Parts: sequence; structure tokens; C-alpha cells
Amino acid sequence: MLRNDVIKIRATQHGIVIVFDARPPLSELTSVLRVRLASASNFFTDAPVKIDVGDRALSRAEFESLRAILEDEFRLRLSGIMCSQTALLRRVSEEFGRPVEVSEDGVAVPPTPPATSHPPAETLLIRHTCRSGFKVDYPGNIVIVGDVNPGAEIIAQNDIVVVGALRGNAHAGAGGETSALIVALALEPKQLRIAGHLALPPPTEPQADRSRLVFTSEVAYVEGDRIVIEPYRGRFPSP
Amino acid sequence: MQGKAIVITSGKGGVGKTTSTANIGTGLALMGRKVVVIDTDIGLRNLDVVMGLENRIVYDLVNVVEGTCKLPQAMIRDRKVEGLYLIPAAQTRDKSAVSPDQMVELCRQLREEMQFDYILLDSPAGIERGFRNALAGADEAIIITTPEVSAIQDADRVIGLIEADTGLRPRLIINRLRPQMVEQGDMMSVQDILDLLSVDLLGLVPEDETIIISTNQGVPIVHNPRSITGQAYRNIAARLDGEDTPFLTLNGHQGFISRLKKLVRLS
Repeated sequence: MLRNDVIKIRATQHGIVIVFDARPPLSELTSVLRVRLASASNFFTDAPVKIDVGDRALSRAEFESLRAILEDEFRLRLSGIMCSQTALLRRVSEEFGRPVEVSEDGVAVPPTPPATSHPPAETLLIRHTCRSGFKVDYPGNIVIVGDVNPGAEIIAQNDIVVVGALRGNAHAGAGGETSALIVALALEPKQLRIAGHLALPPPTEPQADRSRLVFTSEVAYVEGDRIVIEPYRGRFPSP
Repeated sequence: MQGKAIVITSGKGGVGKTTSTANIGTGLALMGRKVVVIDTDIGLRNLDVVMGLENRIVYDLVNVVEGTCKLPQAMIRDRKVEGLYLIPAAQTRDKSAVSPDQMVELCRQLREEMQFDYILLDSPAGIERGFRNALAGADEAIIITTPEVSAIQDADRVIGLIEADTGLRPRLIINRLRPQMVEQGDMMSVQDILDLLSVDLLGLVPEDETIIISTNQGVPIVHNPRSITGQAYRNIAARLDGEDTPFLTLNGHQGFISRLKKLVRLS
């Protein structure tokens, strides 16, 4: 008999988290997961979710089977994995084939990610102009060599770098990562988002005068509870 | 020389696709080329009106692809220019009456069997079936835009679709340009538009009220030797045909605008 409560679906301020009970075998969890998601599938479509596997040290194959259910079957976006520190250390030990422990001053050796671990962010390179109607949503960084035109939409879980003019919409740190940055050679977007923060360009400047303006590279980041935009001088703001 | 099928499209409606098709087609025919213009806007035909041929329609594009008439029967010969033909759209059907494959085959026949130098495909507005039909048979693409943000954004979208679907590099015609407004900073400049769309410029057509008269009379403005707009379309036709007419060698927006102004003063 399958018990539905081995999986809990929680809505938190960082999005939806699916919590797995650590005891039952994963095969049982996946069947329950399917049942639970099927009963509310439309509600979750395209939503970023994290899975919390607790004390379970997820193998690569196990992770892949969960990812396939969430992303391929139910069209959710798996934005991250959460687990307990013990599970994390066990998983890392398996990876390196050596025991791994947390050092005295609390800094883990070897350099492991923090307890709510994201896999190291991958980067998507786009080498063309992103025209109106183009949309990309990537669970990592996005680098665009070309312009982002009005009507195009760029969404990244981490940073967005535009080697060109950013004139469309950009959302960095879409999973809630407030340290995400947006950098562009010319930053003149319709709308800028970093994590949950929104910035609109000042409405004043008449667009017909554009050719007379001199654009400099700018970087956008979150400071406090708002997005700050400043000229990019080769250094990123310290977190 | 193998003939070329060229689609003329814009995304946004009302920016001058049909007027441009009629004028470029007529311009090419005036240069001695064998040209057929095809109205692919099934259900909303009007290329025939702009060319003054609406009372000569017997068969149309849908009749041709359905085989109810032979291809030459649907081709209306222009009254004024030798070597210019129109295949009108059906008015009582819709876009689904023609498939992209049928358009590919039609263009092949016109190019290979009937030896046309230019096949101009007047696309409907939008990015749906009608646009896909018009694009299907094309070897080249011309995008028409006006210097308005909405038209430019739609042009951008269409350029992206064309590049992704066909790998063609569309060329741009900017219609209804008002040099004075650009100068005053009230209108996007040609350079701004080209920067945004990052495509090659094929031609510039100034805003002109007399084009309304010419459209209503069914006489394309290229026929008028004194019209600056007619000259603009003759230049575009020449450029399409491979001639190196002015404007092609743009060096910077300043020099370009003053050249356009000089041209305007000629009229």
C-alpha cells in the first residue's frame, strides 16, 4: 500500500519544494510522486521546484529518474536540490572515494557547495542576435554574443551577460538567486528582473535621440531590496 | 541566369507590402525583366487593385494550385508594361486553400518552365499560414518596415523567423521615412533601425501623399518619372537586379541623411 504522505509538497518563499521521506525505497517515492503531481499537474506546469531529499544521498541515476519525472513528464523546472549535511557529505565522499568531513572552523574541505546545494551553474552561450519572439530559459548562466532586441526574453537561474545591447526583457536569478547579475555593453532593457526584484527603465529619455547617446557597459545587481544599475568597470560588486 | 523568387513581408500590416510589391515588380519590368507578382493574401486580395488589374481577374492562385485552370490562364498581363504579370489571390477562400509545398512547386514552374527573372510574393501580414505559404517558395526575402517602434519590432520578429526557418538573410526597405522628423529627433533614424535589426538596407522610401492617389488609380508610382517615391522604387528595383545605385554605400548616418535630403530637393 502506497502512502501519499511520504512526499510533501510545500510552497515556500523560494518556490515549491517537494520533500521526500528518507525511509521508503526510491521506486515507491517515484510512484507516489507521479500520483501527487498528476492530481495537480496543471497547477505546477513550468513552475520552478526544488526537491528536498533529506538524509538520502542521491545517486546520479536516481537523480536522473526524478528529474525525468519532474521535467519531462510533468513539465516542471527542477531548479535545485536540498538535502541534509550528512547526506551531502556522504554523497561527496562517494564522489571522491575518500571520507569527507566538515573542518573545525565550519568551512568544508574539499570545497563543497553550501548545504542547500545547487550543482555548479552551467553556462549557455548564444552566438546570435535574440530577436523579438525569441525566448530562452536556462538553469544556469546565459552569455549572449549579440543584441537582445525588444520582444525577446532571456531567463537564467544565474547571471546574464550580453556582449551587445540588451533591449528586451531579462530575468537573472529566476529561481530566487539574489546574487545574480546582469551585465551588458549597452543596458537599455524594457524590463529587468533579478530574483524577485523588478526594475523598469526611466520613462524620460526620448527614444528618437538614441543615436546621440553614448552607451557604456553597465551591470545590474540587487542591493538591499532593489536593483542597482551602475557602469561596469571590470569588477563585480562584492556580495 | 536562374530566376529568383522574392518574398515581400513585414509582420505588421499596413506598412506598404502590397504597394512595394507592385512598384518593385513594375520597376523591374520597366528595366526589361520578365516579372510575375503573386498576391498570396488569400481572402484579402488587393495587389490587383494597386496594379489596376482587378477587372481582368478570371482565375486566381487557388485555381492554379487546385488545377482548375492552367498556370498561364491565371496570369494577368499588365496593361502598360511588357513582361509583367499578376497572379491574383482568391477572394472567397482562406489561407488554408494553399499549402507551402504547392507554393514551392508553383515557384519552381515559374522559374524553370516559364523562365521568369523575378517572382515577387506579396505576403499577408502576420506570421501564420499565409506568411508561411509566401515564404515557402522564396529564394530571397525583403522586409518592409516603417520607422515606428511597433513596425520595427514586428519586422525583427519576422526576420528571426525567416532566419531560423530558411537561413535566408532578409534585406530591409524602410518606408514612409520623414527626413525632417528624423533630423528633429522625433523619429528613429535609419541607422538606429539598422543597428537594431542588423540586416542590410535595400532601400528607403520617403513618406509621400501622392502614393495614395497612385494606389487608388491602380497606377504604380514608378511610372511617374518626376516622383521622388517613384525614383526610390526604381532604385530598389535596380539594386535588386544587382546594380550599385546610391544609398548602398552608406558611410554613417549623417552623410546618408544629407544624401536623402538632396534627393528630396530634386523633386
